[in-house]
Amino acid sequence: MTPTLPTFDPLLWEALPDLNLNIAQTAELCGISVRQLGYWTRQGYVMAQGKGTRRTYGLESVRRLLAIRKAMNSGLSLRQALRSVADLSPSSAPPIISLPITSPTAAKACAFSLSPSDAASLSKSLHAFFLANGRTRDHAGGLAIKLGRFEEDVQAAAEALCAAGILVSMPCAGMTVYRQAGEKNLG
Amino acid sequence: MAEQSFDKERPQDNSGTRGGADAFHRMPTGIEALDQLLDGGLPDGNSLLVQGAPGTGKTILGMQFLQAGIEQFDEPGMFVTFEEHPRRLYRDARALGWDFEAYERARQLLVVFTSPEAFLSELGSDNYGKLVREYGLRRVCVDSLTQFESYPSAMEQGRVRFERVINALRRDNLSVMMTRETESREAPFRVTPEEYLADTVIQLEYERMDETRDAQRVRTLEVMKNRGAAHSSSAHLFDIGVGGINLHRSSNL
Repeated sequence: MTPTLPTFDPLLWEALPDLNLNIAQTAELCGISVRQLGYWTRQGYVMAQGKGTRRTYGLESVRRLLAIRKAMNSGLSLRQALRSVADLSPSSAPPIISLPITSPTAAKACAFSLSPSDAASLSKSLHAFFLANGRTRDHAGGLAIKLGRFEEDVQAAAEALCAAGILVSMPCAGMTVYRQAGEKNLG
Repeated sequence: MAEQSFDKERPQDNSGTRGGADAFHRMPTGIEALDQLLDGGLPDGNSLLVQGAPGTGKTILGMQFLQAGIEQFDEPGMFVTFEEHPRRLYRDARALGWDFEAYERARQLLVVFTSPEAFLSELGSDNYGKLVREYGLRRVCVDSLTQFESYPSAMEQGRVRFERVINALRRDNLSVMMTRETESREAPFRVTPEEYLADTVIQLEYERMDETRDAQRVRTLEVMKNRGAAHSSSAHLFDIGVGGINLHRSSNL
């Protein structure tokens, strides 16, 4: 179950001028390793603010990384990919398309572009998720990240599963944590 | 013992932990070579922070900590994972020769899949205390603290949040191991709240021997801190295979 993002609307992308991701989030979003990103940054292939693990990456850096990755996916070497994106400017940047959601951060960053979910099919997906990961205990926000869905939709689906006796909700410290009804040991 | 150092900080008051802390009482991790580096094991009640860059073996060391507890000391354990799906952990454990699903069926292990926010909330409301008592849990591995940094909206900032996690788990008399991602090389020069607060800190590295592209990569483990006790002050080579981390005790760098 690896959902795929719809074509990224460049207009929506442009609506994120204040994007400021840490190194782990940027690596996840761009589908590269933290080590690789650190190396590319030290080599000057991509710009970052700050130093070491405090580095952050803005919209242009993320856009550039995605373009490099896309070029490399099409078979270019890193050197060739860097050459191909050398004159990358905001207006000429390719739209970001169909990136598989491989991580919570990617799902979170891109959730706004997912189409609204049908509650019934989402309930089925959520149930399948709990069956596959029996000891899951999480709030709607955490589940939404793991499923790559909107938090509001997941909340509704989780409540539906509670009403059906499949999940149990546990109010705790200002949030509601969901777990499988079969996990009988918790209050 | 020429290569050993002694951290001057005295062990903090661990009232409420197993039998009260004694600076010279050790809790073996069950990973023999690591116990040797720690002069016999973790001082009782010490929290262990394992940090390193991605791919250095932090999660494997965490799994091994729980596996050793189950196999050698009959100590049930809990693995708390925020990002890695349990199925992948089972698969990775199998590759190392450990059947985590069988441990779960035997009620010796719990692999809990949650998020940092839910984990903090449930810690505060003693839901995990109930789990500890029901399963008789003695060890816990939290993988990883780095995930807390992804949640700026969580209730507290860095140091307070970390302190709350440690104290909540200690309250339940658990031996605590936590992992944390750092960038290699720079990590030892930037001290973080986690490093201040953890009692024992282990740094893992996976680096080339020199700057040349064809230089061999080596894995090293170094004890950076061991509050209240002596420890090896050298980096030691290790490899990963069936059985987990195999530390070459005599191969000092």
